[in-house]
Amino acid sequence: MNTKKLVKEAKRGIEASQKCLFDQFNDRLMLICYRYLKNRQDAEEALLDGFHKFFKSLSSFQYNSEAQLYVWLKKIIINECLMMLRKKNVFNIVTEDAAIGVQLEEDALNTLSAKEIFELILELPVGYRTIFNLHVIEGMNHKEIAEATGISEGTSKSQLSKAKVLLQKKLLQNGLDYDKRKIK
Amino acid sequence: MTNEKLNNNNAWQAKLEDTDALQEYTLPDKNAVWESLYGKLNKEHRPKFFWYQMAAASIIAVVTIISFLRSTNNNNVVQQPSVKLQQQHVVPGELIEKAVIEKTNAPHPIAKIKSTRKKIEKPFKQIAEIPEIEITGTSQTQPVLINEAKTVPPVLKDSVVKTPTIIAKAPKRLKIVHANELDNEGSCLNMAESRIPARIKIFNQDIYTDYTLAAHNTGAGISILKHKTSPN
Repeated sequence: MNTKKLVKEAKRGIEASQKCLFDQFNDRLMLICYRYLKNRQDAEEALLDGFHKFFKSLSSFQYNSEAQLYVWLKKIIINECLMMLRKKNVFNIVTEDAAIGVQLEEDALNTLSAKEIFELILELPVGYRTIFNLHVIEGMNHKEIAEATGISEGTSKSQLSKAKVLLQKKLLQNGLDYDKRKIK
Repeated sequence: MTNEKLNNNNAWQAKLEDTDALQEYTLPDKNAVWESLYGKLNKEHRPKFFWYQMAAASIIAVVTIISFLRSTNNNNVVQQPSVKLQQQHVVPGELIEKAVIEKTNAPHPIAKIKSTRKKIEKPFKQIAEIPEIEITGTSQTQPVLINEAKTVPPVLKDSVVKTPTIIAKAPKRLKIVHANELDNEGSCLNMAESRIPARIKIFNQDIYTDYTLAAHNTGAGISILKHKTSPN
């Protein structure tokens, strides 16, 4: 069924259409939740709350395209994940203005499989992982990250650089032939 | 540079959202999650309906109570029999009305006013109508006596009494005259007593100034003198 029609019917509260929209997006969104929270139970809870907010505020949504709908839904889900992390006080990070200038060769990571990258990210500590997710994967700048997480931009930068260093170490520790996979 | 970064982000996103590759991290039981989500969505609708229903029920209850109170007030008005109607001050010839509470099957006794007419006969007043006597040349064979005077029946009030108010008739008050006043000169009574009965003959007819004298002589007479002892 057409996504536009599904959204239209879901706005009227038709259960079948709402379930279709849930089925269409729940896998991708669950992966996002899992990547941020690293816990299945928390991820399910964040997904549930996110979808609940989505259906509640769907009446005010103006549908243009499926991509736009997904971006909106993803934003809601990420906000839910950040709220859950805030509740656990994971962003109570000491400000570190002096960011270490570590350059993670992102092209090298491109050579890794999705599962390898996913598991590497999950191995990062929660603070590093969150900033890494927000900056490298979601493409947010440090100002936006600072606003979303309640930390300073400097802290965001230092957290990101530390996350990259740790990720390189992890790659080496896991015995991955990072240099061989390096495209350059 | 920024374009490269954007492309990199998109590549990362696409990789990390590859559900086929990362199947083990997706929801194991989607239906259960959906059921809980749907239950959560419906929970918020229920209180709204509940409060709407409560509001509607309270409005209906208020309207019912108000209408019930109004109806009971109306019944109370009917139930009040007028006490004035049962007063015993009865004027003869007037309508007597009694409030009678009838026993009916109705939940509240309904008072009905039954009107029973009781005619209380007034005692006839004998009012002597004195025919006018013209002193003319024509002969009148006999003088008119009071006994033979026409009696006028009392005029009864209209049988239909619209207003049930019954007012006791005030007793007639007689003028109190002091005994000394009667002895005064020019008093009518004194004059009447002091009058000497006489017989006057006019046009061959005897007219007596005293009734007793007339009755004695002819069996008829006219009392010329009248005493007015009351204001009426």
